[in-house]
Amino acid sequence: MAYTSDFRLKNLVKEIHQEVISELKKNKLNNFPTLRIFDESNEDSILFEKGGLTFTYPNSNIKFGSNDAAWIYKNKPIIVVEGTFGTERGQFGDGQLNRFSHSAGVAINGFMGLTLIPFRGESFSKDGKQFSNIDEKIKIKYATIHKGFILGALSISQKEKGNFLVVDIYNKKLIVKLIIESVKEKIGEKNKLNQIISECFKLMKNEILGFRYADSSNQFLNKIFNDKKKLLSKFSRYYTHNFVALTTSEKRDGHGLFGKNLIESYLCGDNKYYSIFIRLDKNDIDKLKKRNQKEFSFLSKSKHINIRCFDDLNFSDNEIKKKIKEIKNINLFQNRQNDLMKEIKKQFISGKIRLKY
Amino acid sequence: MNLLEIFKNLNFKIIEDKCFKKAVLMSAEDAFDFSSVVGSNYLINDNGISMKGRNEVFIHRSLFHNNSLIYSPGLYGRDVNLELQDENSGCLLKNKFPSIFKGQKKIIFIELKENERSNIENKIIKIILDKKLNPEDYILFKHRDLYKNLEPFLEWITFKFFEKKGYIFENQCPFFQQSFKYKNKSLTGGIPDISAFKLSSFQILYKYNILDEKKGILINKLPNLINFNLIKKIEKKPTTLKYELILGEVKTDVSYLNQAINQLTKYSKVELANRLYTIIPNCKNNNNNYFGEGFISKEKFFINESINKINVNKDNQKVDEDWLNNSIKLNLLGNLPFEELKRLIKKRHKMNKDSKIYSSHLLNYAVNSSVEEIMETIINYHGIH
Repeated sequence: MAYTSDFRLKNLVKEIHQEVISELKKNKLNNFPTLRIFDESNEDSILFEKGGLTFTYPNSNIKFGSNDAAWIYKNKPIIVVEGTFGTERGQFGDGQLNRFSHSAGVAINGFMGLTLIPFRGESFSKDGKQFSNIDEKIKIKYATIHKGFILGALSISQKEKGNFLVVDIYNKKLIVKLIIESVKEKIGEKNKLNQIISECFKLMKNEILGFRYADSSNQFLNKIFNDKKKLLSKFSRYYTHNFVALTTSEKRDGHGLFGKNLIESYLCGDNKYYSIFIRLDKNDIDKLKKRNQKEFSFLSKSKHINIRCFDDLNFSDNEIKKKIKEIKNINLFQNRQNDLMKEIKKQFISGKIRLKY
Repeated sequence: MNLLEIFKNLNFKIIEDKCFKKAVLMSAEDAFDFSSVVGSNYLINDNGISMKGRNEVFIHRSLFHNNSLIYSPGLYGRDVNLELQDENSGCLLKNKFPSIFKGQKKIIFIELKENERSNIENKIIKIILDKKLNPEDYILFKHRDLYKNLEPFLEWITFKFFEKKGYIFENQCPFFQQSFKYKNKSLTGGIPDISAFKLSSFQILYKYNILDEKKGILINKLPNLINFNLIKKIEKKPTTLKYELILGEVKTDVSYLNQAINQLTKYSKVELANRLYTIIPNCKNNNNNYFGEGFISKEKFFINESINKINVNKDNQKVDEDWLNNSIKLNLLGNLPFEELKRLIKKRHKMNKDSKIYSSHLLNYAVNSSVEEIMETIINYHGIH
């Protein structure tokens, strides 16, 4: 069953399409794109070539996240759209990264992926800010788009054949212009597509001015060593997902994991990207590979991601090793371990926790 | 299930149609309800337009969030600078899609093949145009195998049942999703498929002929009362009404009964709803003493009550009544043109002409107005007596 916000998004996209058609008519252009959109989201996950809105990782059957709509001309996608109102529905942090693979998959396949999201959202919350002269039941927490999301999109656009654009969902004028100029380009008319794309990139870059990726993350590792004290990477991460979190439907956090790995494998530049699962052992990894768990399949097959687990680590501090073992099966949402996480990061960076190879 | 027979039993006329052999004839008003619940598209343009998902005002019930109002844009929108905008008010919808509110509509049925994509509106519009008919008179009801993908249709049948009993009905209603601590337990929620409720404030809506004991309404229609001429001030003796909430889980087949029971069990643990139902066409007996059953027999919908009553917490219901009233008030505001609404909000907040209005102002205006005050504002603006 689709959520109300899915319908809202699809209604907005349909209205944008009508504006595009009427603008094209005004410009006396009679080659119209079609809008591929479904009422219910279950058809979104069908592969694009089979009439759906999903792409796969090249030369594999690993699906990226599905999209919400696509403008198509002569059976080829012009722009494929993924939309979310996450910033105004309580999604403040890494949750936004769940959606990263959707447009990334489009760009990796050489087309234009467009993520629509309010760049700044008001999420009404019991823990929000109260305003004078406004009822005390009305409290707001402001959320902004995840800057890492934008940085990742820019990096994919640089490195892949297609573009990954991120536009504020309420900037309807820019969205309409982008579609119209894309159509003009496809039908061989004089167009300003490059200018509009540059405008989108400029707005994206404005959102991340002064931003340093993962600066405050407890799990991001700007140094990681091997047993011979050789610096292996300046851009890696340790993850706390355990077997249950990756396999139980209620707890499954595969989407976020996929999104973060995908982004970081593009942002790592010349560094080797290590994805270190401190709460999984070799046995768990083997079981996950056998289960063909979607997101984990991608990680294990990606040539840009190097998976390591608890058994691949050497510890100078046995106390930390013991503590990590102890938290293997606990629910970290209910039993936060912030101090331990900080200590683990510190020990990775100082070389007290090292990769065996 | 024989779909046409079900419509017939709900007193809709089945007519011969030049393009699609049979169609169900509906007033614009009934067709609006159908599209709002089922999501079926009006064939106004190549992709179709439905009325579903156009009046969201809250994501979760305030009871589960320390009484805070978890508002969301939907009925009203915003711009890039967070300023309040009209998105789906009744006045705007009528302006954008006037044909939706006029004449009669024909519901046509198209059964999709197993691997056929459902975006067939364009194809259907061509068939209609070839016969020189007007696509805007049609609503497309797509379905697959009869026991799959029919949940929204079953929600609509359930609505038709509770409509006759004077309830406000909502499908896919707000509840809570994250955990809620209650009686020392951490509970998880979900999104109930259907909700029907009554409140003490209904006596005000009785006075304006919007509701009565035998006439309920779909919540999606509240912002569109003016578009269907549904407001009329009448003399009505005050009636004592109290809060009542019904929730239900809809499944298309008895094989999903356990899932429905599990969901209802979660909803019952917060002691809010007075009655809970499994709504499964081929399940007359859910083997549960606390949840009633909605089912279809001889193409008619029936409800069986549960043997035992479930516990309710009156304090929880009090909080929820307040929240539901706020939801009603926000929806009713959709009957005012947006410029008028902005003027009223500015006046209430003593703002000057150029002040910017945000969602919080809209919400504050609704919270601090009574249902009666809002109804009077609507009838005065539109000159209804």
